[in-house]
Amino acid sequence: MSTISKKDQSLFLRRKVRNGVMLSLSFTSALIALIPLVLIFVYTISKGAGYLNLEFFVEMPKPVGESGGGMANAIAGTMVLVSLGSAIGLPIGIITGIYLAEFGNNKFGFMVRFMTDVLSGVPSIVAGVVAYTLVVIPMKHFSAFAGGVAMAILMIPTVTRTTEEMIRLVPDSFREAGLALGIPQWKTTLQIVLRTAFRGIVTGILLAIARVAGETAPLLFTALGNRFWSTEIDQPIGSLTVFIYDYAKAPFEDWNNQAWTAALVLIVMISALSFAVRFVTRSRYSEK
Amino acid sequence: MPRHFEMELDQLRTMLIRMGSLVEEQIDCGVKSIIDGDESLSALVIERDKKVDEYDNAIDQQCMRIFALTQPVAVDLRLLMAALKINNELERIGDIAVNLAERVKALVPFRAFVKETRLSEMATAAREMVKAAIDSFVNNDPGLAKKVLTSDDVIDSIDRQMFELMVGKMKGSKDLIEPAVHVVILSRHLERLADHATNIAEDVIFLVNARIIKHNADEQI
Amino acid sequence: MPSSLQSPKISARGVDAFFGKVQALHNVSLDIPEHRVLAIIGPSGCGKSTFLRCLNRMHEVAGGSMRGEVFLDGEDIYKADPVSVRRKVGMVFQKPNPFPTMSIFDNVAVGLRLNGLAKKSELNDIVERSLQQAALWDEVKDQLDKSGVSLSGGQQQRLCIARTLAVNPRVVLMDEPASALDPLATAKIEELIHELKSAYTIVIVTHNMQQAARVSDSTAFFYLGKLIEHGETRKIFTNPEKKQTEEYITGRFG
Repeated sequence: MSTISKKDQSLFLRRKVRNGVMLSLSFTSALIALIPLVLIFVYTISKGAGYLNLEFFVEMPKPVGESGGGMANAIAGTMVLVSLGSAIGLPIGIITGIYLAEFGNNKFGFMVRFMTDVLSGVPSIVAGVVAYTLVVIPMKHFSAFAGGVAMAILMIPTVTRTTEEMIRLVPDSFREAGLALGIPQWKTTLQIVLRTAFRGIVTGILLAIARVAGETAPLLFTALGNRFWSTEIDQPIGSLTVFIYDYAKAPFEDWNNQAWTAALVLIVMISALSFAVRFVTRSRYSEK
Repeated sequence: MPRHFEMELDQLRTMLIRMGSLVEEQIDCGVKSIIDGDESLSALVIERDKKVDEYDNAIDQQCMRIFALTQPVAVDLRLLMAALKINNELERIGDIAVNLAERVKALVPFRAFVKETRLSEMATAAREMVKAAIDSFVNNDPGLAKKVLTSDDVIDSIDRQMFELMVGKMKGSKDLIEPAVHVVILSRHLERLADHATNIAEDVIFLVNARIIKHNADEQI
Repeated sequence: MPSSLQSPKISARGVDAFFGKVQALHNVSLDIPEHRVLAIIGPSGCGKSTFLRCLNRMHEVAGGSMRGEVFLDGEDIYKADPVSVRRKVGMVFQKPNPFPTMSIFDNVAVGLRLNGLAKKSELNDIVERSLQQAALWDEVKDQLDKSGVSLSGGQQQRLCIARTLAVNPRVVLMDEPASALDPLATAKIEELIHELKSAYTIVIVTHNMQQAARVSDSTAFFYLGKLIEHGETRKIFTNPEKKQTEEYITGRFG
């Protein structure tokens, strides 16, 4: 039957065993890596789902001692802060990304790229401190705007890098084709190159938003927080993350429960955004 | 350059050169067999014509293959076109050698008569033309080819003279009609031989200089 | 060759082209007559693509520089606005590159739209006419809003040709337009070139000599950045003047 020598056979067996060991090791590692994610979901759902009701979404927080209430203002606040951050951070990030990709192969571009990378490593609390110094102190009070600035500082590096990378991914053949049609350089960049890179850039934007929506530290001394309904830009504003922070460390059980629920809502919102990212990138393939 | 393509062109040239030598040989033997009245030599010539036909076919096949499978241009293209034409001419020259050989038997009783005519001289000249034409192909020598073109006039004039002479002889004596007619026919064969040599020379000039000078031998090369 | 009654459509005079310090073209002078097809042949790296790109000022886009003059209908294109030059001299590239985020219709119309060359009402007609000229209309007329990249390679290339024709150039440059295509698609492109000749002037760079022989009226042979020989295609392929030309076309080098 077999024409394999004894020596080859034992070698073969050893390889099989080694292969099996490595496979099980990597499989186990993957399982272990999943554990935190699973735990988070399980805990949040089990602890928070119980208090999830319509009240949570439409009511204001009740005074201490009274049970019930909701976090309508916090939910609205998170959305306002993210919108402000986007309004400031996205244009800066995208335009910087375009500049770096199309015209940034020089010393200046190198410097900008370097600084952006440094900025992406800045701890989020530091971004909050910067926003405090730049906005809160001159304005003499906390505000949603300051929170938005902190958000923007955190968004810019991600958006810039993704935009630059996505534009670089656009093959030169499209730029050439555009120029060869007699389309001026700036129009080619905006209407053809940018359009081609659009899906990738949107992914980058969504990822930046998802990250920033879950930040707490920078909001602590910029937007501060607000137990009352407010969407004014020049006033302090509540947010889901700060609320979770406040309610989780409070001595009231009712509040702790609400914190879990808030955490659940936040996670669901961010997960929904991630799914939106997947959806946006998937439809690229359906065109074929 | 794909080497096998180069090889195929070389093979083609070699076949043509060999066919040329064979055909020269045939002419030599054909003429000799007439002059010497050598029937066994004439039989050999007739037999060997089969080989000439083999070469003819082989060269045609080779050309067709090269045309179909490669896209020859410029000098390669001209080589193939020249090869086909020269092939044709050589085969006809071979046929003339056979025609000469076939007359040997009939001429046996008239050997003396034949010796007195200028046939021998004509045959030599024609043979030289064939040889020169083939050499001009072998050596890619258009100068030599041009010389062949000018020699054709000489043969034509001898042919005309022979015709006059034979007509005279026939008028003189009825017994001389038979041999005279043979001689006239032989003379025509040799004149035709010279024409074929001329055609080969023109094809060589086309091959080397890419100029077609058929029907216009006065043109400068 | 160029009829003495007509001045050439494009005239290159003493063109030197550089990539930084490296000289890619040496003193190339060439006349291209109107409504004819010129094929440019030569081994890899001989400068044929570089020369082509000097004819529509795309060479400088790739970071190159040049000396010399190129006249289009008598005007030096290097003294004119490059954008307007490129509208008059279109280019089709080796790898078909229809814009992936646009439909077939939008691809053809993009040059018109972004250059403001046509009114909205005229677009339909121009797109149809361009696709007809590119021999693609019948195949796509019912699916004009399908993505440009959903077509086969040969169709994509014809789409790119339609896109180029839509802006109504005077000259169409083609850089090895069929080298990425299968033989059937290649044959369609070659047939197309025959048909386009009557309306445009065409310059095609090709590394396929049989294609050059089939498609062009005149041929230019480049080697190491120099123009070696330029003449009627028939003559170049039966009896070229220069030995180098003969060696190249019989495949003895390159």
